[in-house]
Amino acid sequence: MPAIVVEDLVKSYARGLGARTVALDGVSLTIEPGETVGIIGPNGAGKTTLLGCLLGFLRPDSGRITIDGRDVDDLAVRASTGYLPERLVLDRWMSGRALLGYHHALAGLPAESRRADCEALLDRVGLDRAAADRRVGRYSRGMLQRLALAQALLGEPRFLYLDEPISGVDPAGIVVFRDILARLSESGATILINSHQLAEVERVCHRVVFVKQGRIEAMDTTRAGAAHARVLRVRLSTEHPVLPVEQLSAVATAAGATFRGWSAPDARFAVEDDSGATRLIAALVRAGVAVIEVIPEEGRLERLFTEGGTHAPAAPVTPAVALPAATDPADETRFMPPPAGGGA
Amino acid sequence: MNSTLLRSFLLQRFTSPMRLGLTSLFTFFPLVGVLLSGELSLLAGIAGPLAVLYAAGAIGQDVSSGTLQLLLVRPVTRPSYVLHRWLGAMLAALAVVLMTTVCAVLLLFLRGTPPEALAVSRLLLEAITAIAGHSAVMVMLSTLVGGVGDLALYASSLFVTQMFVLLATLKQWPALMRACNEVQGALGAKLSWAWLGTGMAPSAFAIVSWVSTITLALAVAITVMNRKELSYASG
Repeated sequence: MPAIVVEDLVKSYARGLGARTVALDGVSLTIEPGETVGIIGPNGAGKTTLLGCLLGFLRPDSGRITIDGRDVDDLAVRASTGYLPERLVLDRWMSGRALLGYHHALAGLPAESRRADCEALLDRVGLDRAAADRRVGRYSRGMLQRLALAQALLGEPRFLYLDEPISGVDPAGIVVFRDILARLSESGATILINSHQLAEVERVCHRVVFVKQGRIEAMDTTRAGAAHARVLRVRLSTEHPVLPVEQLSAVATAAGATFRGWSAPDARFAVEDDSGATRLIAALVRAGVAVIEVIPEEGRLERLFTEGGTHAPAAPVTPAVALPAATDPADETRFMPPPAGGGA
Repeated sequence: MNSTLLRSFLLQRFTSPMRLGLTSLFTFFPLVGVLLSGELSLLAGIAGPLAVLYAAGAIGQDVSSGTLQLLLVRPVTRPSYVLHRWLGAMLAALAVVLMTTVCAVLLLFLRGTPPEALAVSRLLLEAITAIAGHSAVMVMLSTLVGGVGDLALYASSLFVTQMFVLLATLKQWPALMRACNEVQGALGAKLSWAWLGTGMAPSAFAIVSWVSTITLALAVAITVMNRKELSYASG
């Protein structure tokens, strides 16, 4: 049974005298158990509304949502749901530890394990003990984010909704977040991430849903982790002679990469994955190319986001058009910017 | 019964400096009056204002701050949340009234004019019924406006009806006067326990009116809450 099924969801808001704004216009989506799905799209696209409907905060005009075969308001569903809001509006008068204990009790988790569970979660999100005893009102944005994540993880939820989960989090926090998400996903939790951090979404999600003007414009299967195609911009030293374009292309082909163009002082190469990037760089250095910097270009999602945001079809098809995996060389160009400068 | 919801609400109410300050004001002067006059009945008027004070923003503050989203993600139904907020506001106000009454009784004992048990019972029963009525109305108003806007709504409703009472008195309009009395009665729903110990029967009309005011207020509060959209996306 799918974890989450959204069928033909329509939601509009009253705006002024009889006017209505359609926030979701016939959205259909099926999410399997254990899947991590990212929801991306421009501001006002309907992402938060979709999340609000899934969490039971908003009542759809029509359509249906079932979670684990049950209604969104079913208490059994709520008991296995975790939510990290974008706006970190936690009870400011409580201490961090008290807030966790409060939500532990609200979630109906056993009182005997409350103390141990809360301490374990504080450790897991990297919130130190002294900070946990401070009033939430005195927390920094990063600390609030960690505490909010901790409350979302109470009871090992089977359905986890994360709204801008790494906004304001320091790099160490992002590493913690990735680790937690990976473990949850392994345990079979279904995770929905609403975020503008496209690189992070691409990194942690199995699938990405692109929402625009209340419709799902595209779905894309990413492969979590580092194994996805990208374009590398390799900056070469201007103090050394540069190999002819044909030779650069030959070196790239021998390393399993594709030469995409040259615009001094940068050469662009498409690689399959991280190991492909390593092979390419090693091959270039062996060939005597003076590499001084390697910069990954915009990710596939950024491209999808940009193209979707500016060249959207007038009447998009719902359910979504599934985009092919970007590792297919034939479709690579679809996600990549046109070669800048061209060869030689 | 969700003790977590009640406990957290009571903690929040009793750690609010503004509420504690106002509570001191509401109770200090009546206690001084009791000490000087020896009249326990001076405490009769504090239950309603205390109930309003402790119920103000009971739901509206959660809605406007956004904390309600995190609460309702948990296995708590909206009707249960509303009823626990009402119960919490009642318990908070009742705790203050009880403490004040105990202080007043002790003062009267020290003064050498101990109160009658019947008078104390009557005072407490009237306080309980007034607190239940006022809290229910405030919880209903709290579902309609954010923050502590319910307090403004309550005060303005009292003010406007008082203005209409004056108008009705000047113009000799009995129908308007009656309507205003009904509205004021609903805003401050309470029961008289003067019949207690007199051998007289309580007024069935007053009891039904009090119960129906509370029931209606809570029903409206639950209905409004059930229809409330809690995402900022709803604008």
